[in-house]
Amino acid sequence: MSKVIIIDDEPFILMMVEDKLKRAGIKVVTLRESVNAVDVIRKESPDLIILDWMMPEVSGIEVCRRLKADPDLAAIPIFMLTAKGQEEDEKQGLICGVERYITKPFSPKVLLDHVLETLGRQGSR
Amino acid sequence: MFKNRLAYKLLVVFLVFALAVIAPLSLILYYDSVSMIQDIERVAFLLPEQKAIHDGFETQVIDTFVSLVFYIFILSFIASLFLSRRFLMPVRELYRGAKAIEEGVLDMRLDVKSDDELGAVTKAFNDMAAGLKEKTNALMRKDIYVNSMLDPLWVVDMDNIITDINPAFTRLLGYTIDEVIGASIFDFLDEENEKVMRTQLSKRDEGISSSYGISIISKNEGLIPVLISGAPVVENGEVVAKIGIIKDFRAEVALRDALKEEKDHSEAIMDSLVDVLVVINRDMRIIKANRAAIATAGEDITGRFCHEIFHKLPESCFIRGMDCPVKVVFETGRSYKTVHEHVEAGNVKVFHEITAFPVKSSGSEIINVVELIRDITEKKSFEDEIAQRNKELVTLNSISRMLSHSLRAEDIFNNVLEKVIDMLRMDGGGIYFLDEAGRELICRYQKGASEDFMRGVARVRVGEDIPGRVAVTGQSIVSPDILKDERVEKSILRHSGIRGLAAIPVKGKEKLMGVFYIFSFSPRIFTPEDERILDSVGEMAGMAFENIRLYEKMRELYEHQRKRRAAEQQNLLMFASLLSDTLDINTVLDSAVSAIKDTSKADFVWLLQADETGNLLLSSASQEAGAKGGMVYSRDTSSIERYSMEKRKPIVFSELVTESRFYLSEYLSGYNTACSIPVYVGNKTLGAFTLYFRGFTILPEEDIFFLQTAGNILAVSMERARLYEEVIIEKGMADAILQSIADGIMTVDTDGRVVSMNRAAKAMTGLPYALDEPVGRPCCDIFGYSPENTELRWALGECLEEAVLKRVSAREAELFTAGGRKLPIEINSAPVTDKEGKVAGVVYVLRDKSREKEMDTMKTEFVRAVSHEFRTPLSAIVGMAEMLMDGEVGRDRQREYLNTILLEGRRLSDMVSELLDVARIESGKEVFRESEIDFKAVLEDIREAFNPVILKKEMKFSTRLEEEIKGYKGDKDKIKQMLMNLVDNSLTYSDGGCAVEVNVGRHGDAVRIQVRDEGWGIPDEDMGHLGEKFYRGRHGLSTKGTGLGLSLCREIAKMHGGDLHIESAAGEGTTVTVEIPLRRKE
Repeated sequence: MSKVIIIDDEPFILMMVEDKLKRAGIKVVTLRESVNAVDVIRKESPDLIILDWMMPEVSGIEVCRRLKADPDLAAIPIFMLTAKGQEEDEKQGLICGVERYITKPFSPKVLLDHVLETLGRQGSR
Repeated sequence: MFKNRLAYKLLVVFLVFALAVIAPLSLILYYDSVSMIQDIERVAFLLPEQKAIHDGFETQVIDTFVSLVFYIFILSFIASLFLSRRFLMPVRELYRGAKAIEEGVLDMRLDVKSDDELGAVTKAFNDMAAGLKEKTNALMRKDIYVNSMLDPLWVVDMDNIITDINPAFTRLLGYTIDEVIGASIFDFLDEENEKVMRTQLSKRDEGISSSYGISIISKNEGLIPVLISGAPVVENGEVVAKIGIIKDFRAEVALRDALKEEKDHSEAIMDSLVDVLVVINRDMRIIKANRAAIATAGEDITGRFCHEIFHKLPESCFIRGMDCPVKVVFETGRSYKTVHEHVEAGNVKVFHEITAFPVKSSGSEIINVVELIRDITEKKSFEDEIAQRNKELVTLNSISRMLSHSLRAEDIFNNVLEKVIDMLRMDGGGIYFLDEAGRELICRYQKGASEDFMRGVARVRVGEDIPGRVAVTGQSIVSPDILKDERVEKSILRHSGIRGLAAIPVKGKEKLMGVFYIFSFSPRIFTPEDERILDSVGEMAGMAFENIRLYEKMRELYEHQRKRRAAEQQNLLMFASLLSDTLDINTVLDSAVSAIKDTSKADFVWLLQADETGNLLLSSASQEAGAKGGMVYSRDTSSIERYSMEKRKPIVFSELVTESRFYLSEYLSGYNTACSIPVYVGNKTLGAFTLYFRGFTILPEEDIFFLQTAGNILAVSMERARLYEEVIIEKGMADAILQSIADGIMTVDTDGRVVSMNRAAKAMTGLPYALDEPVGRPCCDIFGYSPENTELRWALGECLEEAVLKRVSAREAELFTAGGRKLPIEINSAPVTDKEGKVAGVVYVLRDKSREKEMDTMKTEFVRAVSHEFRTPLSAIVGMAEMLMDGEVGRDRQREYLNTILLEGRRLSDMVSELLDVARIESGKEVFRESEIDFKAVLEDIREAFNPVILKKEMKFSTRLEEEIKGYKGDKDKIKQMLMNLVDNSLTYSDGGCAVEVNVGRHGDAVRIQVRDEGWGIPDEDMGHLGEKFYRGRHGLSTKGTGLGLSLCREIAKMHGGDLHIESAAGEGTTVTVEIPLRRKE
């Protein structure tokens, strides 16, 4: 069973994504704070990470940079799920190695499709 | 003794006579006596004693005789002298008279010594002397006029040999009278001017007067330009000589050249203006236009009607009920501003802001109107857009509210549809929902169409007809008129009377949920804006923020524009008063009329001037004769003045009463003799002045000649004043316009030296050399003050190079001002050409673009911030609704989901409200709901509202009412809103466990509200930006908010007559103090 970690400071986003992915048979770990995100990720070794950008203390993009800098974790695909909708934000995210850049508001169904697609591709690899 | 030579002559005559008579008589007597004694001696013997007596007798006789004769001679001489006295006295008197006249003394009278012929001669002499004196006086007076004339004068005989000049001639041309008299007039002219002179002199031979411009070779200064008024000297009806009054025209020629050059220069500058500038006369014809005007309306703009150009109307726009600025200015005399919809070439409709102002003559009469026309189509469309967006905003807000209060999709869509129909002024619309299977669209709601029709289209299969196609493609179909639209030829809607139609897909994030359509019964063109609104109804909340911001910006822009316009207006008014300050010809004419009256001994003199239509107006009069400038005779009235003007020669009537063919003004009764002299220059008759005498007076020919000369001088003065005025008005106008333009204007010659710089250009740069007399300085030096201006100097240099090639150009550059500010500016340049069409320099129009740039950046920043804040709550609404509708949420979770949607919906709604609040308070439209405030209750409410957060973050929260405040009246909701915002800030920007306290008390005559925390504090770099709307400091990167809270608090404090202060130190905490007066000033 695939495992996805979602990090967001808005509880309802966590709730929504968790419900949606769980229904599709995906194991979901939610995290409300980004401070010790890298440690948790290392511990959990998920198949996919969904990150919010705007978070207190450590921003999502910073978490992404740290992950990509870590050779053990760099291969885990990252989805950026953010309210930052500007084109240059998206560009910055993709430069940092984000797999998919999804802007809020989003359709849980579409998010699931993307997650399944990415996980499926990984599984077949 | 008298020295009368006549007396000597008389004495000589007497002596000759005496010698001729007495000498022979004495000799004869002597010889007779001697012979008689000898005879006696011969006959008688004489004693020796007798003999001695005889001899003695002879001597004795001679002695006696001679003495006797001498005595008689003396006696008769004395007697004759006495007798001739009566005859000599009158002769001596005559002699004295003759001597006196010889010495030039005419002021004497001879005594009449006798009543004989000599007496009569003396009397005749006296009369003669008196006559002579009168004649001489008259001659002398005229001589004085001629000699004291400031203008030179020469007289030539029929062979064109100069016979006389006056002292002014020597002063002007340097030749003495001896050098000139006897010389030919042509000796003083070069070949070209000689030809002119010959033609003019031949006119004199025919008895014609005229004025003409010519150049005379002076003794020391080469050619001098002059204006000559020439007239024939007529004696006994025959031309005997010619006289010319010479007017020094050097100053005029130089001034006219200089003014012309200045004017050309100014015109070139006006031509490089972006705004259209036209001068319009009373006939509504355009008499002058700048290049911008010609570019918009074509080369043939001058001479055409303004309404023809700008409105494409055959008659004036005021006839159509528009407020014609030209008419208003002519009627009120004041400048006027309005906005007109104009039609440009190609029938493009544009909005023009017109500033019209009067051009006045020296007599304060409005002669023309200048219109400065600025294209505000863009501004207007912005304003329209704002109006539209405002409406949209309100709609969006209510939609956002609906989102938070209702979760029934149908309700939402129904309401949305209604709002959209209303907003776009459509006749109706409907909404289709996609059925479960996704095969059919079912109409659930409709408005505006008949029931019958609706039954026919209640269900539409996906893929069929318009709604079906929209459902399949997911693309809107918008048709201005479906009857003419080939794409929808099969639609059943075509038989329904519907013309304009828009069908828009209703999309969830990915899935199509239905189609909504709106229609009108008349063809309706959907603008891209309409389509955009329709498309964005789904994501309307995000848009709402942008709209408010845009509104704010536009309001600022508008305010800025308004101020700038007011300043321009002020300058234009100043300029208008400058124009009326020209040379005062009236005083000159008044003194001329009184001088003519004095010298001619007339009883009344007046000067009438012809206006352009031919009416005769009173210009000056020696006594009361009606208002100056008032009409004396209309152009059709036959008058003495008109007669003399038509004949172009002096007219004298010695018996006015018999001249019934002329109409006489009411002021002219009682006069019997009139002499009217026409006043004209070249072919132009300016008017006439007339002398009126009570008696029957005969004016001598030389007097009339003198008056005619006076008329010529007057004509030249009047014409000169008019020329001055014309040129000065034109120059002044151009100058004032330049100074009052808000863009910086600078002209530079081909060497790169500054020729002129207007106020705005000086102010814009603020550079020391620009403020301290920039004219003459190299342009590079001025901008070189700041070394960073190299790029700008390059740009200016390139423009100059383009200008030398007679090309206009446009550049953008940055200007570093004296204050170290960096202004983005736009440079437009155009060549300035001189009279010969050679490039003399370049004119730069510098436009400050910093406001525009700043606004651009702010707008982008705003959209970024706001869209972000909106997207998060929208995620809950969109995402959770989708999951609910898809039936994926278990019963246990449903309530939690709905609750979240409701909460996030409210959060969205609050944000929109907050924005609207700020906008409303700032625009002054917010209603102040006054009530007595119970601060204790307010503090309790706040504690309650924040209790969950306080507990969660374990904050040490305290409220304290230091003193009971009774009777304070304010807007309770607003005060509460302010406190909520401040407390929210403190709680958000503090770590858990920190203290936050709210104190309310009195401070003097004010209520003091303090919110103090021990939180993160505000970093120094953010302190300066507090209160800027949408500004989010360093901490804003990691927290949520709109950046509106503090702005709103400050506005609320201000609304209550108070203010808000912030003290903060990073890491130590923040104290916000609000003080509002207990008694508000109304």
